[in-house]
Amino acid sequence: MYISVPSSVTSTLIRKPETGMGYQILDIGQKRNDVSFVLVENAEVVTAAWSVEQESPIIRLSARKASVYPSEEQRIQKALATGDFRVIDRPAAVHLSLATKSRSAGSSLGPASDALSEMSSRLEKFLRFSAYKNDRRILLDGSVLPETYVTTHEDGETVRTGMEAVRRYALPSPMPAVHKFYLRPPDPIRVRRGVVAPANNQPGGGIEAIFIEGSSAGTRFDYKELPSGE
Amino acid sequence: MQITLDSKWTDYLLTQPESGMGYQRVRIRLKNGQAVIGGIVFNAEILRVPEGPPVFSQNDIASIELEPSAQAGASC
Repeated sequence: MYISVPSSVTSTLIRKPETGMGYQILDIGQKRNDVSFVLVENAEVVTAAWSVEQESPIIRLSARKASVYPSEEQRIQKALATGDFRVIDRPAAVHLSLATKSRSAGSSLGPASDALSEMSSRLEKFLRFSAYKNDRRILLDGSVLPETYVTTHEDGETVRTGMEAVRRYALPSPMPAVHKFYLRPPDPIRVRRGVVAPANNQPGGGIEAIFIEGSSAGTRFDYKELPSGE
Repeated sequence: MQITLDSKWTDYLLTQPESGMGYQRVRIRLKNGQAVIGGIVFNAEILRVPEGPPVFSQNDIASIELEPSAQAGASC
């Protein structure tokens, strides 16, 4: 699906918060069995949509659609043209994906564990926060074990203290995650990406990724200790 | 209650997926047959379980299983 967003709408969207990194979810009016939510990337193109399958007692959405019927496309374009939409914030988007009956495996709104695997970019950087300086999933040779959680460099660089990391990545440990490991797989690796759901009495909301098969020696390239923030 | 796990459990847990960044949600099976749910292992070495019975030590552990959404457990 590739529905261009009118430039006037783009101007509006870039002044509004993102739902996630690089995208916004718009509510174009909830209507049962009709397209009701759309994914807009870079404030300029609609690339996915969801219909409402059930309105009460909880909203239940369809799987993410990569294509829509012409009538549905018209509905989307009309909503954009008339400004009849609102941007969904991250907590609401996470809530909706939790209520999704059959969440698309490619959804970027749910946890990483539910996402499709994809290849990381060449020399893409990641970060891992830990309460342990001897984080056992990062080995002495700098390799990372399979099925290890990390975050993206962009997301992690916003974190200034160990307690911020606890909140953002919904960590259950009461100890601040002050140990910040810089990771850069030497070659592209398979990862899953998603958004941290609220858990452990923490809000989550950060970006998380999983190194599905781990990463080879030399992945860890730097380290920093953060203030605790307690 | 907190227990520092033996290396045999740590080595096993490092072969298993994390539940999140730096932790694994686990269920403990004791040698007397009791199960302890709601455990969390940090850094594959520090086990924390909710306060309350049963109280147990390292030597009482028969197996550690990851939460159902993760993988099968191991026994030693």
